[in-house]
Amino acid sequence: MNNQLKYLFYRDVKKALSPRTICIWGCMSAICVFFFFTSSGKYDLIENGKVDFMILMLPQIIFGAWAVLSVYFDLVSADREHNVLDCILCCGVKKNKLFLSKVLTSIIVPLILSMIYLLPITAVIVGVSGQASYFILSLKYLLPLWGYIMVFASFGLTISIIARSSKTAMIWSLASGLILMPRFFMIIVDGIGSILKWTQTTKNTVSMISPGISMEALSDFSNITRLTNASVIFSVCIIICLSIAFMVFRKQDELNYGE
Amino acid sequence: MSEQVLQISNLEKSFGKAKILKAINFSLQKGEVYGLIGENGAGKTTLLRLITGLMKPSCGNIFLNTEKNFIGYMPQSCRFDDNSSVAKTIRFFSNLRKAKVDDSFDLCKRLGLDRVKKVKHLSPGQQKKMQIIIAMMGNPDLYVLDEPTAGLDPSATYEMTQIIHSIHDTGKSIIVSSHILQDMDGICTNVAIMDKGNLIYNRRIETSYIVKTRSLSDEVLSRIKSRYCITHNVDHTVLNVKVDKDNISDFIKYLTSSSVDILEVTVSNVKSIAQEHMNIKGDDKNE
Repeated sequence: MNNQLKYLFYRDVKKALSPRTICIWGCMSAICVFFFFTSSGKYDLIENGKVDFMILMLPQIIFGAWAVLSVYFDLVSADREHNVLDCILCCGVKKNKLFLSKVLTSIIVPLILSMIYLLPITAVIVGVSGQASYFILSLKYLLPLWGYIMVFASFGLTISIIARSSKTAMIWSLASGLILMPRFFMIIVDGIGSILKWTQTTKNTVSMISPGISMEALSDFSNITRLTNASVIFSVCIIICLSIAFMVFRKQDELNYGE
Repeated sequence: MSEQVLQISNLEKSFGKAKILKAINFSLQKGEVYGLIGENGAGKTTLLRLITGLMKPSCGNIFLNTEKNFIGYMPQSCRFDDNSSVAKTIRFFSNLRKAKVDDSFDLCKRLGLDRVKKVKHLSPGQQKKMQIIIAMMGNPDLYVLDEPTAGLDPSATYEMTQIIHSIHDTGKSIIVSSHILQDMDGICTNVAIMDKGNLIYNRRIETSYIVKTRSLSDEVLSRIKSRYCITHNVDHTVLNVKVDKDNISDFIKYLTSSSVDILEVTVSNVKSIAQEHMNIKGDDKNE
């Protein structure tokens, strides 16, 4: 890896995995374990040998968007606001390289966050069941969770680049996190669908725009069509977000000083 | 002949319909310190950002003749990662510039900047010191300093001007913008004044004198203009004459012989240039 890229990436990862992030994701993980014991999760595991998707991912479905966006909303906006970005660019660093380090951060950090989230609950499941094979079952959820976090990470990066300040980025993140919350998003889609007279299938497909719903589809290997749709939606979302982010990032100064 | 470090020709910058910079032309020789002054919104920061390459010009060219691929840029305000230490921040930037970190640490020691301190615990003066240390990393050929003394107390201002002096002593070229005109005196070899996107004044400081007189008639003024390179204010009471040290007495004699009442003669400094510029209107002084 190019040296400058290595140092930029290292700084971004360190910034993304700040004590705030570790604390938030530690809490998410603890909530997941709490839900497992207080809901039917433990009973299902002991009696039926099943681990339900909803039991594992409920904290993600409720708080996931905000948890991810809280990592990324100030990745670029804070640097720009405090003129650190200018200092970095005046060190002979090309904008493309700087952006690439952000993209790498929105790929690698989500994997680390997925592990932080899944490892404690996996340990609990293995401990309660007494079977190490459940470790493999948790891996089944790792990939969809990684993808889910990556979608929000690229979305957060885009917000961080477009917004003029960290404060604006945080407000946008909170608002978009709320809108994309699966239950809320499904109500919105249902309402719009009723006005436009969509069929239930169309409503279900449109609802998959919410990453939470797509993640559920990605972990269900029995429905290949739904799984493929979810994969395509995830990929398209990430590509669109990063493309917009890149275009805005390149013309950042013109856009920020142009009004 | 001195080496040209920066050449700007017909530089223009527009944001939408608003023209921020209009046909800017100037060059910077090796070892020169250019003081860029002007009111808020005159276009100083935009010009500095164009020079550093952070913005692209709408029209015109910027030619940089430097060996290094980086510029010693110090933005108006800058706050590095709060939770990082001074040493870590310096190490990060020196890695980006492939510069020796020990040189920067030595500079920290000389300037009394505690490397162990976290950035969030630094005073504004210490923050500025860190910024200039970062700008000096790798010994760039050109420095662009945007308001380096803004928000500093007198002692920190003095230290900052001393640092700029030390950079100048190594023969580096500097462009420095500031509102605090006293700070520019003694630092700058040249001064450029910007007004509404135009470069309305651009000269070496030593070659100019300000002569305050009683109001001159148009006839007297045109006679003086025919012999000397002068600019004047609208009331014809302040003349700015471009003569060197040896010829100023001849100029004064000439004025006396022309029955001009001289009230004051001062060597042009940044402050006086700026004051004069506030009064001068209508003349094209762009060189």
